[in-house]
Amino acid sequence: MKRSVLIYQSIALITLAVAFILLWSFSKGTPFVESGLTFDETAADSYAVLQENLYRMVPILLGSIFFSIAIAFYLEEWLAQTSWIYGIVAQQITILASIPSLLYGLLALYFFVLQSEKGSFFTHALTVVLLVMPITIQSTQMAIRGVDISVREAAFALGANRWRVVIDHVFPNAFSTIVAGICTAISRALAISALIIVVYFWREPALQSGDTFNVPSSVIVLLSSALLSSVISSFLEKKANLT
Amino acid sequence: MQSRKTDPILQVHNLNVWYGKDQILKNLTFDVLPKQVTAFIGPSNSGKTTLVRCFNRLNDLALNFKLTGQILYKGDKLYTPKLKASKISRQIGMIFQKPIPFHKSIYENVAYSARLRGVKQSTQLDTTVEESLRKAQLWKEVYKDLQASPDILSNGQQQRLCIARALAGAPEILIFDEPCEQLDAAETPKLEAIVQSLKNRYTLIFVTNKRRQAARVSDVAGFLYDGELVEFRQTEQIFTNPKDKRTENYVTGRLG
Repeated sequence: MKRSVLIYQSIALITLAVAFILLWSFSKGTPFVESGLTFDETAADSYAVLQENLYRMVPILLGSIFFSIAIAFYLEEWLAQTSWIYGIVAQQITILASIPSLLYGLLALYFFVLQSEKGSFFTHALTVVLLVMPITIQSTQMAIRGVDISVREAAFALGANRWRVVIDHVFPNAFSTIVAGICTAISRALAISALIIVVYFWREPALQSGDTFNVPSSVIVLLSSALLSSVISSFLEKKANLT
Repeated sequence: MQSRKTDPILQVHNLNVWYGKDQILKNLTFDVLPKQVTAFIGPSNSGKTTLVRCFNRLNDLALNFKLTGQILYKGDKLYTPKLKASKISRQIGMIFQKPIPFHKSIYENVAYSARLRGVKQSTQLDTTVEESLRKAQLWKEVYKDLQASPDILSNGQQQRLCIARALAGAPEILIFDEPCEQLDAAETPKLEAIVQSLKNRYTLIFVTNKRRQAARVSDVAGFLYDGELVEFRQTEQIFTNPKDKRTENYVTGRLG
């Protein structure tokens, strides 16, 4: 797959998505950038709904991580790299992973905040999946490719089949790099969630006491766990590079 | 009994191998006899490694690999869709240029291939590990701490560990693909001694680009040059009385 094609496609996709968000906000007559995010729901209720939605996303998050790893292993180990399916899937994943997470944040903002009660569980899940899966798949693919070919060959030469080679050698050798990639993806998702909550909180006068702006505790938890997971990720990456 | 021993264990017939458009091996035909050391010599890029990788079907992993002709292992076709590559490589072991111990303890490294062929009992595993390490002449150096990581071993010891690991899988044929390439001078004679001691129980195929080493260890030798099997005869004859001009140039050091 040509690099330039990839870049143009991702630029086109990003432009389309930004255009969609801007058009949508203009058509509603709500200038997006100004503070006029006005809504008429009762605020306290929808904040609870938002939090509940966040918790409901945890199984989706874990599930999408699991599937991402499975997909990455299937792509790298079982699907021949010459096959056309590999080319298409790899291309789409690269495009999705190269979209800045801010854009996913805007999408999430649209689904979580601006439509907090209309937005279905499905749309929330889709945002999380889009945010986490491409990055996890890509980093897992890199981790698998990083396993020395000689280790594979040695195992194959002893009579191990593909499954055994993957379970006994490729996975343990790639493990810390895979976890590092997962941490990066999760910290991305957490940071975006924190951002959404802050924006949400900002526009709900009912949640603010007087003139002071109180940061919700969940934001602090989210941001600190995002920080923690990126620290773990960089530590694991360093460790993987050393061995 | 005598006649059975001379039945070839591997029969190669009109073997051609391509990687993409490059033809690596050109029309090879020869037989490998059991319980002998068969060496393949030749300059680098002459196709020695590609040839031996055909035997345990390790080439299947490469993209664009294409093979025509026939290889028979004990009279059965090696390349048929029905036969799984893993089944073949259990019977045809391989030692690589670089020693590649797994990230497991010494014991687990050797036990790994025994487990692959279905050994489960711990007592049986213990004896297999000890036997294999003894055959690879490593037992005396490591028996005190089998749970240690192979990282503490020297390059040569790691290579012998790889031999023990291959032996624990109970193969019929053992392929050595330039096994001394990365070893120091003191380790090379040890490895050659192991090859000699394994000769009467296993069929050994030995790839090397060191002429004298091939002369020392092998019974039969084949000289590969640019993908062609120029000569395939008794080692002694190849070295003392080569038929082909190219072989003569190679063994006398004028070529390659």
